[in-house]
Amino acid sequence: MEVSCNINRPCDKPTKFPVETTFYTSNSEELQDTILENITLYGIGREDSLLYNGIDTNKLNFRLSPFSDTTSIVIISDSNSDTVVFFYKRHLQMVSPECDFAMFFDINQILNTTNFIDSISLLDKILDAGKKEHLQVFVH
Amino acid sequence: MQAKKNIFRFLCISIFFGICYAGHTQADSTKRIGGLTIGIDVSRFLVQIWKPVKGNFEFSLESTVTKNISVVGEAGVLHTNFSEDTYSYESKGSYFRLGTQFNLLKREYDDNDKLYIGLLYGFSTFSHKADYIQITDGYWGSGSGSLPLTSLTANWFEVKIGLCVEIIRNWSLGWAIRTRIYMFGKEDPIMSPYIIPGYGKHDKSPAIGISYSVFYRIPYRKRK
Repeated sequence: MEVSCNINRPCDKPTKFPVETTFYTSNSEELQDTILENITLYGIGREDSLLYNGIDTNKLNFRLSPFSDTTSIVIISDSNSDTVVFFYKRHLQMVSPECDFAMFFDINQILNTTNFIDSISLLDKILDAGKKEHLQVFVH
Repeated sequence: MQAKKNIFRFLCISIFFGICYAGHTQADSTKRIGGLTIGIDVSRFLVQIWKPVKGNFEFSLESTVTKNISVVGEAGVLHTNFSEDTYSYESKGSYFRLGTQFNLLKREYDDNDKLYIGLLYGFSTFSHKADYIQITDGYWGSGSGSLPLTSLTANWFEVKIGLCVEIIRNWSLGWAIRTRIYMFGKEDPIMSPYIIPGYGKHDKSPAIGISYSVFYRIPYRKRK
């Protein structure tokens, strides 16, 4: 017989791992962030629900689909639109007895259209909640 | 690998010295009583009232090697099965413990009461899996997944302090408090086990356990 206290402790670890994204200008030799205006963001397959709607920002985040190995995100800034496609591996893991299970992502490849996006740089293939930046998007 | 060697070395040495000591003192022991004691941990049946344990059975064998020293082996099985809101979990396994116990009481002739301290090595082999794991995402919706059956092992040391009182001839009742220190084992990087058979909660080291057992002693040495 093992003795333990049946106290339901709250979950104190992250269970969601959004892609932390920062926009940079491609017109500078130094790394210089830039604010995109009137950004709208949604996932293909969820066109009925917007992740962002008409905001001005240099940073944003979004989550990959935990039910597919591919997620396509449409970014609209003013009247320009680009699509970013993420290819990744998923693995289910128990975070802790308090937090239950979470889906973790290892990104293999990113493809994108180039209407206003110049290039994309992935800083870490493994999405980690401890990092402030995973993706650098360079725009014209 | 070195830790495993040290553990088995400790076990061999402790059992060897216990037997040697028994042989050395046998000539002087005119009032020693011995025997093989079989025990069943009845507290295991009570655990099922407040823990999601579907089947847990543990028995022990103890053989006196001197007036105060005995060799003890304990073995058991554990089956856990429960469902939470977001998943269901199942594990099955078996375990054994092997070690020596030292009776702190000065034993008198025909006295089977014991206040003892013991040191045991524990080993468990078990498997676990999780099904119907619900994953919910505020944007992408919800779905389910599962984690396949995975085989695991655990090794630990256990310090045991207990009291055993003879109720009727050769029948005894006794409890013991056990402190377990996890050593090593084959772990699952994907999912921590809910409970390690014979050890307890995996996230606790030391883990504290209590047992309450019924013992029957089969006397095999003639009283002098």
